[in-house]
Amino acid sequence: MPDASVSAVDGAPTGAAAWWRRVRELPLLPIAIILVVLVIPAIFAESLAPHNPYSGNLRARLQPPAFLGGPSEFWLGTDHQGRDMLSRIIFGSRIAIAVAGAGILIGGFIGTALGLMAGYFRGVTETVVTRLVDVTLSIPAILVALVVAAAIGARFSAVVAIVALVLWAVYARQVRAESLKWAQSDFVARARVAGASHFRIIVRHILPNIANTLIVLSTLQVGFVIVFEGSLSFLGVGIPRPNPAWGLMVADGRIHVVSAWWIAFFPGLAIMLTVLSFNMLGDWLRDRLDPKLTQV
Amino acid sequence: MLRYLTKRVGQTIFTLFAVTLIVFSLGRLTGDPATVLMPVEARQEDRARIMQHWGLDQPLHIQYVRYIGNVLRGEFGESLQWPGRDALELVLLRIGNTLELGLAALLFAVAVAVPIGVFSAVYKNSFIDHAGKFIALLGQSLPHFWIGIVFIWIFAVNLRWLPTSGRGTWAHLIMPAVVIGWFQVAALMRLIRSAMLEALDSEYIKLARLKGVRERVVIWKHALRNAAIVPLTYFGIMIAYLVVGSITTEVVFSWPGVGLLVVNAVTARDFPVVQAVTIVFAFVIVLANLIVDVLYGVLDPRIRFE
Amino acid sequence: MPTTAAVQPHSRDRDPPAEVILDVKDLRTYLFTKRALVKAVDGVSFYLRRGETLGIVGESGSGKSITALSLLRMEPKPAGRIVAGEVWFQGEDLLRKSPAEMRRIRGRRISMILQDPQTSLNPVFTIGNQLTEAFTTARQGISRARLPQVVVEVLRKVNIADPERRVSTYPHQLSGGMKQRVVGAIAISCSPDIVIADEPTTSLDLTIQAQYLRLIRQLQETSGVGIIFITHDFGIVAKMCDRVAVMYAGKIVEHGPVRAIFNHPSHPYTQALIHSVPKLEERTERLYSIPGQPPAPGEALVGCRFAKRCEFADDRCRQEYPPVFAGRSGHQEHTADCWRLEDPTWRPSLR
Repeated sequence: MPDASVSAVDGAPTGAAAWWRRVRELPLLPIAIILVVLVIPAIFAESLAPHNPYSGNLRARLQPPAFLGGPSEFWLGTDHQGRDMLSRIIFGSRIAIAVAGAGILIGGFIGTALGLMAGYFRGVTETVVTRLVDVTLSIPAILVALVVAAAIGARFSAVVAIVALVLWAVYARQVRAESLKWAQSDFVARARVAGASHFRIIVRHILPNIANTLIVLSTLQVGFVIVFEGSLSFLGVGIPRPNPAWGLMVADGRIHVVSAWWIAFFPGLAIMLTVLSFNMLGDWLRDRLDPKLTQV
Repeated sequence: MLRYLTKRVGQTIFTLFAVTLIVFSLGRLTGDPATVLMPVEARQEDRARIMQHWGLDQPLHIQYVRYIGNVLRGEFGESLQWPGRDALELVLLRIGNTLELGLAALLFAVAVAVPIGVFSAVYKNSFIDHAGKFIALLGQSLPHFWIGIVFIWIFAVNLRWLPTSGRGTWAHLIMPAVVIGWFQVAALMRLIRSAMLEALDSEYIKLARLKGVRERVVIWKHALRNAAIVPLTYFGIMIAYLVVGSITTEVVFSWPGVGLLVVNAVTARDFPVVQAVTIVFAFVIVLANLIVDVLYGVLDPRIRFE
Repeated sequence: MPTTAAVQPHSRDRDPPAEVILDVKDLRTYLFTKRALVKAVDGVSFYLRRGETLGIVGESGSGKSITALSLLRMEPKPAGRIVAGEVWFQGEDLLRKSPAEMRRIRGRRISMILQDPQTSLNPVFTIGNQLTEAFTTARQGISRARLPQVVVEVLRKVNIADPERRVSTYPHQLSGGMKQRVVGAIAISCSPDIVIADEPTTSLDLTIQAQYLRLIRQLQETSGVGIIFITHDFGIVAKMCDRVAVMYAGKIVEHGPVRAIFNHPSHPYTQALIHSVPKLEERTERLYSIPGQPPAPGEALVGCRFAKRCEFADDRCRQEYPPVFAGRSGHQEHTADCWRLEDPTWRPSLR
């Protein structure tokens, strides 16, 4: 039976106790995984990686991980070119961060700007933006990626551009809906009466109100971008070889799955853990900051 | 209903034009189209043939009109990888295999997601609800291409229950269909759960119970019939995901479908085939969306009689 | 409003009293919510005679709807639970029945009309379909071939014009009044002994409301069904009911024949409710409304629930719930829960 009595408000703790309580409320596991798998390796790759991620020793090809009886110097084994898997995964985190960061920044900026304009100015701007959003979202980005790769080959810049191309529409749709609501609020009306410029109203009055939405949306998009980049790289239309992109490493491991499963397994595990953590973090943030945002 | 239909058909045509425009521009605006369209080692007469076929000597807007004409006639030119084979023909030859895989994945997704979604709404906050949430989270975090390889390692290499790759028997279909469908289970389940929760909370469900209708009938007929309308709108998006999923999954399992074809074509710089696949896929997705919207009208009488 | 202007309760109190078909004793339905325990129905007793109309009247939140749903064991799940009481119907306690037995009573022996016709019909099935289901669920032994005809007949009974054509329409194609008639048709389809009508006219406009009330009375006269009429409107009570139970914060504070209560309201709350009914003949400047707010859900309740808003309340009222006193009309069925009735000369009157 649920507690029938209305519980008394706890005595508010002070100082370190309050701080500790706030920390305890954070989703610690996802944050820890993100730090260990993604952030720390990316920052300290040079000092953490035991081997060179690009050049291997052909005589040490397809060595199993140390814990499965392989040479002790290769913790996670080696790939078909004798390169250390652990070192490649560590350096691969940089690629994941770079693509996700650049893609979300560019796509998010364009999408937010257009979404704000559509929601604030309405009329033709809104019609054009929403129609473009519909079209963009109805074409799978992977098809565009294939056409681009066929036209100009696999490139880092192309991957970022395609990520941005998908994301702008996601941002624009969400931001338009939000700014539409705020544009009709009293304080925007007051600012207008006070003679504020359109730009000022949008940036100073509407944008701060949708900041929470943007934070939640961006967190939830990180997972999508990492899987998407991984898929493109896996297909050979994303990050070019010999970069240690996680998706590429899974592709390298595919043909060796019978004899050396670890080549495909560990990079994919890194993707899964990172994405799972960001999705959990995003869900947590959504519940905290923006419970209305359900459609992503 | 008629106005709704006309509007949707109009939007569909607009989207298809946008697709052709994107593919066209990507083919033209990334430097010299001839070099883009041709492998570096192409012979001079091939180059001339392509130039003429696509009218590359004409101004851009005329090229685009000609391009649209070619697309409408289904002329994407000859494959460069397999000279003498029409690009569209290659696509149509394999699209059946891809549809087979997509349909199996769809069936798997629906068969798993509907019961879990319904039960997690009926028994809210129970074990099945929490398990369902976890499956959803996991499903949306697992990369297709990786889970496919993990499946091969477990079920084909170690357990030897299923064939590693290729197409042929029912057994060949299981792993790729589950891999593609898995991702859909997550999203579909969440939608059905929330739609069911809303339906079960409604007055008409109360009235059905007051009529003495059995709980089983209340849930699976009265509530689900209403709740099914919402996830149906998602089917259009779902088909897009199935297409996307089929590309990586076909590569993982060497499934001889359009996805494998297009990835090979990209590697071989076979632009006509890539274009044909892109346009055909775009048509499939956009038309599927249109059909879903019409179906939506049929299922929901409030729209049907608008 | 096409009126039978003066309040003219169609009382049958001169006839010999018919047998009691529903006897509710000390019913308690509590809502166990996360924040608090809400005693939505807190020891309610009443009875219904065959062919009689009992009004349960009170403000929203007084627990009258939950009382009605509890009779059919449809208390709002998962928070709501019937924690005590007896509901005697045809010699059996409904609170002791299995869910399957309960299902056979719902719709067949006791049916219910819900408040909002806009949402109480399933939007994706035709009204014919939903009516047919009422018959097939109840296993009335009607052959499949005769079903369409039976459905049309019941639609005709609730005055739906052109019923042959209406069976194939969807709820959204009908007006609110028509929808509520269909809901009524579903309720009477299996000739139940009791129909519970939960504010059936609240969402209808006034003309339609009057028509619907007339329909209910007409149906009752032809079928002899017992009706529990739940409303917040004392004007409707006056027109429709034989007896009335006034509910406040989960308790019945006054109970008795309509005429007795109208002429001699004995609980200050009843007095205030009657006073707040707009009268056509009097051109009052402002409608009277009861000062204050009903207790919030979960509020700890000690003493008389109405004490806070009552101008006659004293310390005892605030500390101890009053026992049942005879009402001021002197009618043997007229009772009220108010300490002031200790004084035989006291009458509630608004100053």
